[in-house]
Amino acid sequence: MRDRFILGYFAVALIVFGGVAIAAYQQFRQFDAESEAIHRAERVVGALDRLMASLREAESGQRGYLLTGDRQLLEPYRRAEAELVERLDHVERTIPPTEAQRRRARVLRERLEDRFATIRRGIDAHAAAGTVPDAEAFRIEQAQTLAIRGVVLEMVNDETRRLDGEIERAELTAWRTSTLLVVGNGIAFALLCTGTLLLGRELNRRRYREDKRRLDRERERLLLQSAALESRLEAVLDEMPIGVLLLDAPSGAITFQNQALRDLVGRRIGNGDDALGLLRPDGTPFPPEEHPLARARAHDEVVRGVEAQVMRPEGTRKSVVLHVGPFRDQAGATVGIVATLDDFDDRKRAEEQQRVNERFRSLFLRAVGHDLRNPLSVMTAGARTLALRATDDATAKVAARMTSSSERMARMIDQLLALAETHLGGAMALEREPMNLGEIVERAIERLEVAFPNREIRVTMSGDLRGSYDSSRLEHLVLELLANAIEHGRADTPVEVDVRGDDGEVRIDVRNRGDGIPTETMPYLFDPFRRAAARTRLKSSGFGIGLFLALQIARRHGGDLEVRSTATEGVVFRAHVPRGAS
Amino acid sequence: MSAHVLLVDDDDDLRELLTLSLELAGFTVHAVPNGREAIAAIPDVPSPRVMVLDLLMPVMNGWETVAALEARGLAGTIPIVISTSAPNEAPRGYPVVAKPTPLDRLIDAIRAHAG
Repeated sequence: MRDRFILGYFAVALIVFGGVAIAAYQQFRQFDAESEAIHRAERVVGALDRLMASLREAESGQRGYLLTGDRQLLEPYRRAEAELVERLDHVERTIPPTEAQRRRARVLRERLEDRFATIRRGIDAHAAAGTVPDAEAFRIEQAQTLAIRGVVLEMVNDETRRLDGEIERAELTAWRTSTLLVVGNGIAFALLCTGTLLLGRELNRRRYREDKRRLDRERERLLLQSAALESRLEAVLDEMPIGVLLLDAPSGAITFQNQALRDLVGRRIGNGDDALGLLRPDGTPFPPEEHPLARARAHDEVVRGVEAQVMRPEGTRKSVVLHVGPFRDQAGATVGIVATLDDFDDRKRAEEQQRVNERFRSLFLRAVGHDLRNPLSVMTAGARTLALRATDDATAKVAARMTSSSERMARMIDQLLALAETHLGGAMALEREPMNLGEIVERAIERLEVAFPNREIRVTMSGDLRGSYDSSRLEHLVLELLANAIEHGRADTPVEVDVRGDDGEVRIDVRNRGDGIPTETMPYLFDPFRRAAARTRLKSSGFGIGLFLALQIARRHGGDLEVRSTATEGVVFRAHVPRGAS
Repeated sequence: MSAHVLLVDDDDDLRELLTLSLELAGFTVHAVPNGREAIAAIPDVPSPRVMVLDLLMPVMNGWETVAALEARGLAGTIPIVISTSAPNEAPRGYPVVAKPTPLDRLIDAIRAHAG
């Protein structure tokens, strides 16, 4: 509808333009015709002037000749006579085709011809007899000339009247044309402007409507998204085992409370700081300025771990631990308060249970360690006693095998306990004490020399090796590196141990000359149970967690364990052990 | 002169084997199963002497034994070598030989500390 209206504007504007153009064209045509008529009238007057000039020349030439007899003075006459017909024709061609003017033209032609005949007769008479016209002849000539002038005057008057009329009409036409152009074009221009304005407004309105629709859709999508997010969040909060309460920041109105909270207080909470019915641990109400919710709301304060009690509908009280804090929008303004309430009794029970569990774990570990190590001690010490007192090779060999196997088992127990300790959720505990790392290394070497009497272990030590270490852990570390070197090194080559004290750390290098470590194994070397996973070298001792534990021990001391394997140097494990605070 | 060893361990097998091994190594061994009996036996153990003390034991454990000796001012009268499967928990200030017992090291420790 609106489109048609605007189109109508443009159509009317175009029609007006067209009409103005046609009308203006016609006016121009008319003006042209009027101009032509004016020019013609001017041309007629000019032609009559020239005709009268010819008559005057002929008369003056005749008079001069008659008075002087000089024939040369006839020259103007002759020229005028020669031009007469042509000028008369010109007048007839030029005059407008009105009956009156044509009649006058005919009369003029006749009178001029008569007049020229009279002049010619006068000249001829003078030439023949030397006579000059008498007064009567002169009067007739004058009358002829006057009659001619009279006709010419009528014609000129006629043309002048016509000229005046045409000029008047032309002026009127010019005025009409300009008025038409100004008014018509003005109207058309106004229509065009209005149409353009309406069109612009319509386009703007449409763009606005399109934008609004798009924004509405986007707003709807965001609202849906936000609602989904909110319901997900509420679902998550509802599933939480602790009570959660969300409040609007300035008003304090409750915007959300989860199921755990309702269970805890035994009812749905209404609005207001006192709605929770919070009491201090001694059962007295919180003074208004100390109320945790009020503190968070009024002072933007984060309140953590406040012990309190809540009243349940049946009159019992429940101990809770309360955390309250503001949450903010992206601009940092506080938009709400979140309060969490944890059942203090439950928490105490859970903590107690955890303590019991930890105690049990600790006792279990100690019991396993003790119970396994005691019988192993019997075997270790027994085998060693046998070895020391063996009188034949067979006994010595059996004793040696028992010793090395006991040693392997001892390490496996160490590994199991260490792994259990770290993988049951605890960190590997360190008992640091000031000591010399060299002694720890020597103890480990001694242990393995007893277990592997046929393998040579070469040791070099330099620098300051003192520091604060957990000796049994580090002994475990060195044992693992040595056992690994003995296991993978060639039997006829020594295991080389180099212990070097630098400024901040002690470096322990354990080297074996063997086949080297396959490149594909390198990335997994320190992974636990890699041996089982790789299904390689199953004859090896232990669970494949020795190097993993060695790395953990080095790292717990703030150091690291790295490995290099080259054809020329063999395999070198290097443990970096910072001295620790001694 | 060979030293006297007061061996305190509740594990019968280990106590018996260590008694045998240490005697074979030339020591005189007095073996008891707990701390209380150890404290009672101290006057019967002549010098040079050393106590090889387990920690986890019934009746009176190793820590209690050390505490009792220290409390009675007897800690200085007999050197103590702790023999334990929990070396990290051993009382500070005493030499420790971790279980499973490395016989040579135990013998070295006894020789070094007997007095």
